[in-house]
Amino acid sequence: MERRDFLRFSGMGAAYALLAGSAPFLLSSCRKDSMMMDMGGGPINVIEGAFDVSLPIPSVVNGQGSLTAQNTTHSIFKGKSSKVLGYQSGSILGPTILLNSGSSVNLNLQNSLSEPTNIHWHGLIIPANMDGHPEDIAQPGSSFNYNFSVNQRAGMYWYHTHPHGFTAKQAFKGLAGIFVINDAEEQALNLPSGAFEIPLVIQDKRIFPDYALDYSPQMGEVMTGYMGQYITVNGVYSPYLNVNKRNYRIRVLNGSNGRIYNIALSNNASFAVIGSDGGLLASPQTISSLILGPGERADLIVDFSSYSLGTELFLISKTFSAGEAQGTQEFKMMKFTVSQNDTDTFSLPGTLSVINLIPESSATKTRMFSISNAGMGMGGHGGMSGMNMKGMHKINDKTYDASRIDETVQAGATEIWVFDNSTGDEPHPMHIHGMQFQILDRTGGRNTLIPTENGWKDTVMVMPGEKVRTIMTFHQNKGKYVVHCHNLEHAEDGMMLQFEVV
Amino acid sequence: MKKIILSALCVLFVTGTFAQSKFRMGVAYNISASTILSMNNNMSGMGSGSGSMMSNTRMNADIGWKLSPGASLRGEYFFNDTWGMYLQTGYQQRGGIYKEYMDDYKPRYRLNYWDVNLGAQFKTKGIMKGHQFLTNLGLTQHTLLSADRVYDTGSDNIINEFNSNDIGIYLGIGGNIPMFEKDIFQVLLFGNYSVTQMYSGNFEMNGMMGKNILFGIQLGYLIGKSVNKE
Repeated sequence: MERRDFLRFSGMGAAYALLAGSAPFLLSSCRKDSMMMDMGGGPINVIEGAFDVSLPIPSVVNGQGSLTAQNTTHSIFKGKSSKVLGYQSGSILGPTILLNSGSSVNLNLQNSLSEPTNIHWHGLIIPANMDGHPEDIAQPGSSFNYNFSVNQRAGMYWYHTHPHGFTAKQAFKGLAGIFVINDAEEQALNLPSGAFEIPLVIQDKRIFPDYALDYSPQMGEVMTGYMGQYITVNGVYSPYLNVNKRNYRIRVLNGSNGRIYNIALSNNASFAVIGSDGGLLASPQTISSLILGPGERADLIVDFSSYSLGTELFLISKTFSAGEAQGTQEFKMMKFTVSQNDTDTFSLPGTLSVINLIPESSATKTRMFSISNAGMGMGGHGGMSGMNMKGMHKINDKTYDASRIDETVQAGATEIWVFDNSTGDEPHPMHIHGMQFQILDRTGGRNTLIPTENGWKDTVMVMPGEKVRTIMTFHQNKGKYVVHCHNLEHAEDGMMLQFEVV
Repeated sequence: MKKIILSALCVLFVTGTFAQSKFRMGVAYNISASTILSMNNNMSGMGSGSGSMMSNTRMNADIGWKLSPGASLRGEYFFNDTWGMYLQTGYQQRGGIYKEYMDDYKPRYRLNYWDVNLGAQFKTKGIMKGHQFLTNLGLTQHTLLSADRVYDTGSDNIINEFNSNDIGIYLGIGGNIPMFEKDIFQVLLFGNYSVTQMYSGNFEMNGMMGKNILFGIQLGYLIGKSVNKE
C-alpha cells in the first residue's frame, strides 16, 4: 500500500470513526427524548438557609416614568451575585408601584431583552389593550406605553411579564413587581403602615452551583410546574426581619411559577387575614395557616406584641395535600426576630369593608371550564423551547390559540364561571384577566372556601378533585382578555383560553 | 486569536522550510476527559438546613469529568536523535459536568478553546525496531472561543464568566510507530493542567476559582518523507 492510499483510507476511516463515535451521543439524545415523560416532576425539596440576610423592601414609584426589562445582576445569596432579569438595574423585582385609587398610570416599558416581553397588570380592571394580553408585546429594542386609570378598591395587586412562550422563563428570572392601590376606606382603618407594613413576595428559585438562575423545565415539570430549591422573599434567600413588639400588616404575594405555600408561623400562632387578591375582606378572620397558590395574595395582621425580646419566629410553609408534587415538605421561608419594645394602639376592627355579594340569581349565563388534566395530548402548540410534547394542559379540551375567541361575553353581564378539576390530579390556580370575581362555593376536595376566598379574587386555587364556582360582572372594558392557569408552565403549555368582552 | 494562529502556522512553515529532514508535520486527534478543579467551595452559604440532602435536591459544587475532543496540526523538529521540539495548534474542548445537581439532569460546562502547545520532545528507542518512546513537556496557551452551560433542554452562553486566555502545562508520554517512508503514527497519553484562574465576570466575583484539567489520548499521523526528499 502506498502512503497516498493509506492516507485516503485512514481519512475515510477517521470520518467513519467520528460518525460512529457520535452514535452513542445521538442515541443518548434520542433516549433523553423518549425519557422525557419520566424526567422531573417529583417534589423539589427546599433547602433552608441561615436566615442571616436582612429582608429588603422593594423601592416605591408612583406609576409615572419608565420600566426597562433588562438583564441585570442581583444578590439573591448573601455576598453573591446572580444574573437575573429585572425592571430596574440591580434588582430581581421591579419597584413597587404605589398610588391612590383614581390615579393614572403612565409607564413606558422599554424592552432591552433579546426576546419579546410585556407587562400584565394582575388584578387590575383596565382596558384590554393595556392589560398585557400575551399577544400585546414589545419586541426587542422597542417599547410599549401603558397608560390607564386605576379605579378600583385598595389592595395589593402585582405586575409581571406575560408574552406567550416567554412568560414562565421571564417571570422565573425576575420580571415581576408589586402594585399597591390605596383608598380612603382603607386609610380610615388606620392599619399598620410605614415600617410596620411589610410586603413579602415569596418565590422559589432554582440555582446552578455557580449562582446563575436555572430555568430548564423537564417534561415532568411542565406537568407539575417549575419549582426551585431556594425560597426567596423579596428577592433574597433566607432573610430575617427584626420586628417590634406590636402588630404588623404583612402583605404576601405568591410570585412563584408553580409552587403553592401553606403559610403559617413556626409556633403555630394564629394571625388575622384582612384582605385577599382584590382588597379588604368584610371582616378579619383568624387562622393559623393559609394556602396561597401562584398569583394569589393575602393581607395579614401578625401580632408580635406578646413575645419576649429575642424571640425568633419563622414564616413557614406547612405540608398540605395537592397531588404528588407539592406539599410534602414543611420548610422555613424567613425569620422574624422580636427585637424592640413598642407602644401599639392598634386594635383590629371587627368590620373592615363592605363587600356586596353578587346574587347568584343575577347571573345570565353559566360557563363551564373543564381543567382536569386531559393527559398526553400531542398538540402542536408552540411555547417552551426544548419540549418535544406540547399541549398536555387544556381547558375544555383546547389549548391556547391567539387567533381563536373561546368565549364571548357581554359588557355589564353577570356570569357564573365554573372551574372543574373534579377528575384532575394537578392543582390549578385559575386567573381571569381584567376582572375581580367572587367565589360562590367549592365542591369536592377541601369542600369549603378558605378565608381569603370570602373577598374579591382574581385567582382561585382549584385543587385536584375540586370544582369551584365563581361569579362576576363584566365591566365596560371591551376587547380580548385571557383566562388561564397561573401555574406558568401549565399556561405556557396551553392552559389558557381567550375571551372577548363585547 | 488570529495572531496566535498565524504565528503558529509561521513557526511550522519556517521550521519545515529550514529544518527539512529533521521535520515532521501532520494532524492529531484526541479524545480526553476534562474537568474543572475547584479551588474553593463555591457553594458556601447556599443552604445547610434540613432540606439540603433530600431527594432530588442535591447541591454540590464539585465538577466531574466529561468527554472532550480535540483536533490539531502538529509539527516536530529534532536537533538530534534524542531531543527536539514540537508545536501543536488546534481546537480543544474542555469543561466538566456537575457531579450532583438535580436527580433528573446534570448540566455541564462546555468550553471550546483554540490551543497553542509548544514544548520540548525527548525520544528513545522503542522495544521494536524503528519504534520510539516519546516524552513531551510543554506550555499551552488556550484562547476561549465559546463557553456554554449545557443542559437537556437548552444551553446558556456564559462566555463572560470565563477568562478568554488560559495558560497550562502539558505532559505527554507515548510512542512513534513507523509507517510509510519517514511517516509516523504517533500515540500520546497526555495531561494538561492549567495554571491560571479560569473564571471571570460574575463567577469570579462570587469567589469561584477553578482550573482546567485534561487527560487524554492523542493519535497523530505525521509526514516526514516529502521534506526529506528535498
